[in-house]
Amino acid sequence: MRETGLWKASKIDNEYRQTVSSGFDTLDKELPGLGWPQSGVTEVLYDRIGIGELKLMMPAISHLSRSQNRWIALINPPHIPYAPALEHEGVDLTRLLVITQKTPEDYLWALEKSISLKSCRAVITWPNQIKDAQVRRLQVASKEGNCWTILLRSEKLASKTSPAELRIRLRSCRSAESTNLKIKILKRHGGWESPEFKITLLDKLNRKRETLVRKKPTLIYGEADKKKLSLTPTSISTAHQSSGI
Amino acid sequence: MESKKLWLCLCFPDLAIEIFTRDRTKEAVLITEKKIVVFLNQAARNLGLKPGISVAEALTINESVIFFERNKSREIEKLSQIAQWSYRFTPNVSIKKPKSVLLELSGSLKLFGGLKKIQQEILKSLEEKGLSVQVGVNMSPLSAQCFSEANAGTNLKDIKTSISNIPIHILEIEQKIVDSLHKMGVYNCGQLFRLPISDLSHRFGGQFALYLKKLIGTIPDPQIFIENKPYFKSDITLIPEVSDKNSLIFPMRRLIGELNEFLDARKLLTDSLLFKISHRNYKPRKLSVLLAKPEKDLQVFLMLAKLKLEKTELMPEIDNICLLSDRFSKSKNDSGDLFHETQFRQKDGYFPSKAEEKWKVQLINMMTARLGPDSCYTLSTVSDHRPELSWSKEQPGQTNNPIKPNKQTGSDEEENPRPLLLLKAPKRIPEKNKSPDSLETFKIVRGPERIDVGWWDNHPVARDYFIARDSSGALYWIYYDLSSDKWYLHGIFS
Repeated sequence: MRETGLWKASKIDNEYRQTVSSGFDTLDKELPGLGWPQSGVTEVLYDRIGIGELKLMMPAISHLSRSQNRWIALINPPHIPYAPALEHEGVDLTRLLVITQKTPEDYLWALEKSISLKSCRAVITWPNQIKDAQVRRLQVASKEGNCWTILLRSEKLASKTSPAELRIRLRSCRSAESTNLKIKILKRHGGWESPEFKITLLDKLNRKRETLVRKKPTLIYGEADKKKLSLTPTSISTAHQSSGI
Repeated sequence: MESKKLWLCLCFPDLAIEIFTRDRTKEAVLITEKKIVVFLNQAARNLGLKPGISVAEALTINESVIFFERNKSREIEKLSQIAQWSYRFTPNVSIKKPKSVLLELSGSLKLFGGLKKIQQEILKSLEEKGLSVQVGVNMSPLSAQCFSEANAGTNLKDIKTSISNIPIHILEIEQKIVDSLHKMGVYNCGQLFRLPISDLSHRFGGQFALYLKKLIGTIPDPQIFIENKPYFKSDITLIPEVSDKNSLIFPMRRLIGELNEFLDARKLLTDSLLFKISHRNYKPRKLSVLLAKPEKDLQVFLMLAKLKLEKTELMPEIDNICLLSDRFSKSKNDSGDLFHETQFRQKDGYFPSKAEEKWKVQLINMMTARLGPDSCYTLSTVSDHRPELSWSKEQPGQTNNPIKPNKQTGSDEEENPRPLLLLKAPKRIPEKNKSPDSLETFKIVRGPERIDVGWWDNHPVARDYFIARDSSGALYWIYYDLSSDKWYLHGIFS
């Protein structure tokens, strides 16, 4: 049973005791074992880049990077993972490994090796095209290597099935005003899919902004007006672009 | 007896052939010098060929024989490789051109458990290397050399009596002297030493007498010992030529095995291997295996070499493979784990840190071997206000700087958050009036943060940074370039 990557209800008790808190109480409550899993494939389906899909993982990733001497690997990130921001999130940069490669074969090879060799505590990657059979393979490898594997994929896949053991859908609130992220857990062990719930990612940003606005509101909007800040982001709606694959 | 030296000489009678035929071949191989056969192997002898015949003659006898032009410099190189290898038994190793290596073993007997054991070990290893060898042991350097050339075995007693049966033409003396001695009816050393040395000195010169005295050990014969330069080079000539990659793995394994022995003998580690794969008709290919941490493990080397081989385009035919290594570091005196290789799997799946370090390095090694050295890196922050310059790539595992405290520049960071993803190059944002049908607009969440630095070097930056959200809720880091009056996207709050 183990080799097929199938999950048995009898294993629920021992397997899900070991989790890492996500840092968000509302999310923890919905996750099996009250936190992110230690291993297995977690699919994060998000509607567009920039809604805080990485930020959501950061408290847990930061904790993992500091608690164990294993790599946190980012494989084929779509842009440069920005060191000052990662450091600010509390990630130990000496344990954060960025792996890039050019061909799809190399990508899958690097991904599987990183996961199965026990050298990585967590792997975050942005696959463009990956087959179900390959995800299943990764699921088995991640159990073997005791590595938390996060696949960041398009929200369009939410209606399809996947061998990943945990699937989460992220949606922005589709408004320029809100800082909330709508989360729905599509697949989890020991439970049906969850209702959609909101968490606030950038509360610090908002709070600061309010104080700023109170102090000098005219400056901020004045500046922006002066520079004709009515811009079209059409060219940058680059959701799910990924280098390589 | 303590001060008595014990000399072991390794003589390689077929060295000229064996540098070409390491993979012992069944085919007849001839070594030629100016179109004349000078050496040949057993297979060639069986065909009735002899040294001294010309190439044309040899071809008329059998046209399937293989010829190589004699390569003396490679012979010397081979000897020096053997000498380097012998260094594992004793530090006193000397090269005796053209075909011998001399070891002084009196200090090593106890460590290796006696002369017999050392001899066995040497013979076994040399046989694996595909070299035929004659061993001679005696109490002076020259007598040991004579013994090995005559394949006379071991003598631990009086030199004079031991060499009495050695024919004089084996001695390193001029042919003229040998001929005169033959005319005098002197054929072996026993007969030679019955004559008084002072008379021989009168007859044949002081050099000859000196040689004889050194031979029997009445005067000292100091040797020049090799320096232990840490440099590894070994190669295998493939006969017949091979054309596919898989048939390279076996010779590769053998070369790596030799490297491993070399490292073991010197307590060294290496972090770079270079394979040179060549064929006389093509440009040689280089295959470089770099490791994240110095290592000596045969299996690790082999695995990485295989990965590298998979990704390398080779020429259609290969006749030689060579392994070089010259970057070494001292192996730490590691007495090993008490619970060697035992994995303590704790409740939360946590493994001890020594094994983790090994796994971490292994991943880097594999990635660099298959995907190239630029394929994986770690990040670090750089103290620079320009966003694109405030980070840098680091070689993984090389950064030894201690983990920085979690929040060191807290206030500043809180004030001006940075995006998790930075674009490789800032992207122009077209303004609204140029594309009127677009309805989406940015809304400024925070800003401006002015960054106006770098006018003193060649990368000036004058920008106002804003955090902005578009109507779909995604958060971006954009800036207004003060010098060009244009808007750019620079980061994504992923």
